[in-house]
Amino acid sequence: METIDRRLASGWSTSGNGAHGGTMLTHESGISSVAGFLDTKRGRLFTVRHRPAGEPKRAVVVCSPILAEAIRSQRRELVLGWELSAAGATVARFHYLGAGNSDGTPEAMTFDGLVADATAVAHAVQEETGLPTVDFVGTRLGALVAAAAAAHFPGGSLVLWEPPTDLGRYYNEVFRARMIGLLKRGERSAGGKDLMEAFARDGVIDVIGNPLPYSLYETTIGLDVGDLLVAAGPRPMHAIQMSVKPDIRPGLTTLIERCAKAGIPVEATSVHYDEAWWFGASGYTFVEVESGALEAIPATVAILAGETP
Amino acid sequence: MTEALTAAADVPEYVEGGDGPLLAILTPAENPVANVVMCAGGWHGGSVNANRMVVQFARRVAAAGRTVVRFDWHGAGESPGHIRFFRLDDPGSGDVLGAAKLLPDAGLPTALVGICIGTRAALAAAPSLPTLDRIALVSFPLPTARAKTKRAERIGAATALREGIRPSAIRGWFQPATRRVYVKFLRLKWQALTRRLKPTGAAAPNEEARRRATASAHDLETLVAQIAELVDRGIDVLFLFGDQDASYEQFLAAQDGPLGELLERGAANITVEVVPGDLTGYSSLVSQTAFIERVTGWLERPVSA
Repeated sequence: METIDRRLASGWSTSGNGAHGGTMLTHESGISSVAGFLDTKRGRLFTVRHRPAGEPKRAVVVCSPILAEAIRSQRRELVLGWELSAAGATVARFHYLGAGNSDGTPEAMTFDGLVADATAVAHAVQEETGLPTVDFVGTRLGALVAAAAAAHFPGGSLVLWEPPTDLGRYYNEVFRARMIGLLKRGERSAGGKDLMEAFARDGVIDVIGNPLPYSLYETTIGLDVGDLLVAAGPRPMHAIQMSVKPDIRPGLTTLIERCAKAGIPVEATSVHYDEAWWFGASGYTFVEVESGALEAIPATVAILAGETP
Repeated sequence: MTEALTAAADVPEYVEGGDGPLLAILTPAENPVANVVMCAGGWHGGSVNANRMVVQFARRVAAAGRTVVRFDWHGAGESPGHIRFFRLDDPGSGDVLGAAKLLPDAGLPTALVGICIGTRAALAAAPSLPTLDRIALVSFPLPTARAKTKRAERIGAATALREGIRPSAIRGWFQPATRRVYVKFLRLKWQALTRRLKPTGAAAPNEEARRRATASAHDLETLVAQIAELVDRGIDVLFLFGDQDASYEQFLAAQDGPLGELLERGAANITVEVVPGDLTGYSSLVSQTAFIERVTGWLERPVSA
């Protein structure tokens, strides 16, 4: 049986420039991908738009995670773009300013900046499709960006892939990955207060070859994820947990309960997968889209089509 | 502080590679004096890499007058296709040549810069680039005598079965990385068994060609001969390693044989540089800066007479 990552992997051909600029690929099924830049007031954003064969039924913006996590997530998000466009959506994926092929420097990254990038892309895709609503899919920190950006676009759905529910714990995980990276290289590092002072002073710390900007840390560490979801307002919301354990984690359960009390229902699904988010350089695995994580893709397609995954 | 980068000049373009379309990104120099084709390692999506090191490299090299094309390998990054693993013995030179076609001034001297698996692809593509004047082989992997897959050929079925029922081996099935090695091992064992049962059955022409190419590309002597051919053409070669690269140990070990002779014979064209850190996974910002500065500096030097 053909797996989802292979289903649309072949059958593509180059087809010149697409409408609205950019270079275009067309699949034998009729879907297409257009890569190009979106000019915004803050700089040029690299975008890839995946278009359906016919008229778009939905507009979807995919908000990636950051740094090493973005690398781990990239191929999965590409396959998501192909699958959603095959299901009739126009999908926009992009690199934040300071990341990937876009303008900017990582040191200038802030949470508001990431949200502004997602919002600019959402306006562009809405203009292109003429649809009244925009759906957002976000992974890890990108899930919080998606939630904040969605607040500007009422009515669409919000799908959160492995969202952090506590930013303190999220950054502890990042710092732990950094320490493991240093130990692997036989280096020692300051911890605790000394590390944070150096982080604030230097504006960036090296997390296994990824520059984590202090400006981003400073503007996200105090975020309350529950507040962000509540501010996104009542809309179809779905969290997809990637875990080897089928039960929804206590942190996510608490978050869902809190949103429910505020009148914001959030559904949750767990897919069997354990992602090593910060260790992309240590193995081959993200070349292929791992089978467990693939379940997140049809689940998301089903959610956005209004079906129960 | 990372230097400010601008995407103003970058032009993304889908081009035809060896196995299908690829996303390539051209960073044109204002008044180009030369071209660079960047063949990055496969793990991080060739056109970007960790901390978008390849993007930084391309924009910096273009600012110094060289037009750069970088790309995502077939089945990786933004390029369509499906691959399970990158294989050193199947390097994808068609992708390199497909990306090179995007260079607007194809008559200008061209440099190939390869990292890890990208070095093998660059080497395989080099004979087809008539304007090539230099090649950088960064963290160049050489064949090792202790490759795990060779073991499948060496040990018998009884030994394999005996080793396979040990508790530690059974536990390995629950670890994805170990499981993949086991599956690869079993596949090789099965192929060996099939070959033995059907000794007269000729392989399909495509498979046979692939097998021959695989065998030759994986051979140290062949790799050295490929480099020697370039040196004989007067092409400058840079070997750049991080002192933590596994490939650096391989490089040192291989100098006992024909590689050592080539380094001596081609001393006028060959530069070997070693920097602190890891130039395969680029697991520190320092190693990324070392790559950018060393290769940029080497590109700035005039080619050897």
